[in-house]
Amino acid sequence: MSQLIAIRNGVAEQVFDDPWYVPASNQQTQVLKVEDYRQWLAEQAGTSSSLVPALQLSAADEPEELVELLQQAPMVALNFEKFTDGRAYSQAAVLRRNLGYQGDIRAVGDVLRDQLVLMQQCGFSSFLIRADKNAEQALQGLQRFRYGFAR
Amino acid sequence: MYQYNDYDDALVLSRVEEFRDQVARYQGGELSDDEFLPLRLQNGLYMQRHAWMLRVAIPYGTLSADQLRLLGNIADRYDRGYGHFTTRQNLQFNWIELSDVPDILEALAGEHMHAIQTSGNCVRNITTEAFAGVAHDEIMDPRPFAELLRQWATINPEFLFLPRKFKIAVSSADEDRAVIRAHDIGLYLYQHKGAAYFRIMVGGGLGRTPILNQMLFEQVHWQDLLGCLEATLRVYNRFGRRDNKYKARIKILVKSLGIDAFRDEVEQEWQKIRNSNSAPVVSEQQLARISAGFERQYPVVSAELDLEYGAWLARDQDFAQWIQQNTRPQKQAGYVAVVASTKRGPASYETCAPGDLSSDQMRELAALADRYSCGEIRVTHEQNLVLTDVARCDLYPLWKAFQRIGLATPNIGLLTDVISCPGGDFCALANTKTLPVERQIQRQFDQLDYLHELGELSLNISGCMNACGHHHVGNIGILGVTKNDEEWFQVTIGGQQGKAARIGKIIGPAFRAEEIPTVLQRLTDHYLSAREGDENFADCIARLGVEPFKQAVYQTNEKSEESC
Ligand code: SF4
Repeated sequence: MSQLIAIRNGVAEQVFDDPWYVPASNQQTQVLKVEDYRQWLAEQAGTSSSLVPALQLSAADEPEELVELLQQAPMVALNFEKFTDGRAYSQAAVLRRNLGYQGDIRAVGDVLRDQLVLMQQCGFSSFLIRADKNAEQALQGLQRFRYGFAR
Repeated sequence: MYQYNDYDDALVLSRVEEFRDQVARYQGGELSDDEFLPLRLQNGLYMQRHAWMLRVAIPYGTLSADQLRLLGNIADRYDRGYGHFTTRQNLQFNWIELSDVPDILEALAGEHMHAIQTSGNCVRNITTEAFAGVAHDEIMDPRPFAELLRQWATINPEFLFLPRKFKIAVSSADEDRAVIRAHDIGLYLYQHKGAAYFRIMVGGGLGRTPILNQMLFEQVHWQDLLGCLEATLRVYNRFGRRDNKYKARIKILVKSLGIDAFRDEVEQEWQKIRNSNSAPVVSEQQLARISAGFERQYPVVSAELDLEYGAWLARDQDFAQWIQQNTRPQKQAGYVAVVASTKRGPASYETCAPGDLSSDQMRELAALADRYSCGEIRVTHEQNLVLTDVARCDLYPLWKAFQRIGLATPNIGLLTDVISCPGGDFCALANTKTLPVERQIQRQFDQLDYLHELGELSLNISGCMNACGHHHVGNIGILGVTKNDEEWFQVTIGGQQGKAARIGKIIGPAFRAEEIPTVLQRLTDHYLSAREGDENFADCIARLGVEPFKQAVYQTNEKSEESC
């Protein structure tokens, strides 16, 4: 079972081979918060490591101030403390549009089926579905009702 | 009337199917109450005191005759044969079964209607004044821009989980009839060197902390409007408070940062949006296409027919009074806008609330719109209905028809044209009922001559601090409060709408419901004795201050107690 859905080549699918997610334990791995990421960057200077960690932001973090970290991180996880807290939508929009971030933007936390389309439209490209929800069913949230916001 | 395109229709239908699926998953236990809550709110569905309420969106308050007929049919089939028009120009059905909602939404979609974003913490229905496009003092027609905003705001994914609800209104006339100053964002549209610009006001709202909005930008070109709003909403979405529902509106953010610091934030964000070339820019063609949907040809009406109209005016006093009170001149010569009053005065005060229309009235009004107007009905924020583009020669038969269906009370803008929220009879948040108070007021002031002598006077009633009845900006405002489990009513005076909007002041300790008619009588009697020339109620209070009115209300109170 994998709780992770990603959009690959324009198609949403359940994913089992993600570098920062272990389906068996449903755990993230090598995903660092801002302070830890800074530390990793400092320790990293000069050396080359195999896996570059991903960066996880809280809803209060401001991507504009983290450009240095974003240049490194191949994936940024934005956390929904509660699905009704919409700050991460704007963070994703800022990352994609204002900062031109090209890596994977992942929704983590209170991530539910009915919001996936909105997340995708704001620039999210992968979704770690809340542990107690059925990810296969959630996938339908991205596959049906395609009509959305026309930008 | 502006016609939605295939994309809009497909979007609405896909939304209906999505909600049908969500209702099924909720009823099947797959979605919890908490998870279902914002989904249903974004589809206009509230849990009220006794039943589900569905709030249908009426973009910028304009309905086609077919849409109004459909609403009447839905009221019969799924509700109790009536609907309630709100102060934000929407329509509420008060007695709905949850399992019927997907079918109702599907029926609505058949006439290009929906309930999207009529509640929840998102951008709500965009409003403008009811006389848009026809007002004699109009600068530009605000409707194309309201439509543009509707398209931008509808299911805009970034702004569906804001800290709190977000209300936007547009006005473009000498007189502001859209309560712009009480909106989260209020837009004044004007012309400068032949181009359209907006003065953008931010941070207004009533509720617990009534604040009028302040100027964010003096001059924003229409093509930059959406970029500017996107920046504003983004700043609010990211930095607005989410820890306390009562401090979550944008007005609190603007107040705590100060308007200048808030403006700096928005400017910075706006600049970034521009630099990234991701700003939603509206093209000339897009605006032209939308504007074309609102254009109308007006046949020249012959002066000859006006003779007959003049004759009726001279012959029928009641007709003349109704013309005087319930019609407005249009900028199109020979045409008139007519207001149908939903405040029926003493005639039927036991049976209906301000803003209520029965299904029969809806269908009759739709037929009249087809016959005498342009097949279009407008909803006013005072909860009345407007038919525009009525030729003078048709006014007399139209008045007769309005009389027959009970919409001809000549009280528009007068004391009995009461704005009231539904209050405790329906609303689960209410402290008090409002409708019985409104009825007592109708009973007390049942003499049209006295009302006409009083002249322009707005009276607004809210059943709790949420202020859905806009009591802060009523010349007289009534707010329901609870003390020791009892219903009391606090009275404010001196409030005012419009460009020079003012928040009313509380006159003193609250009253019991049954005292309210007397209190109002004392206020109006005092005004009549104190006014100078043809000064209206609001101006009189502005000149004299609240104190003499307060004394008139409370001193008389003591005297009457001594005498008994
Ligand atoms: S003012 Fe209060 S009682 Fe009236 S409708 Fe709003 S929430 Fe309900």
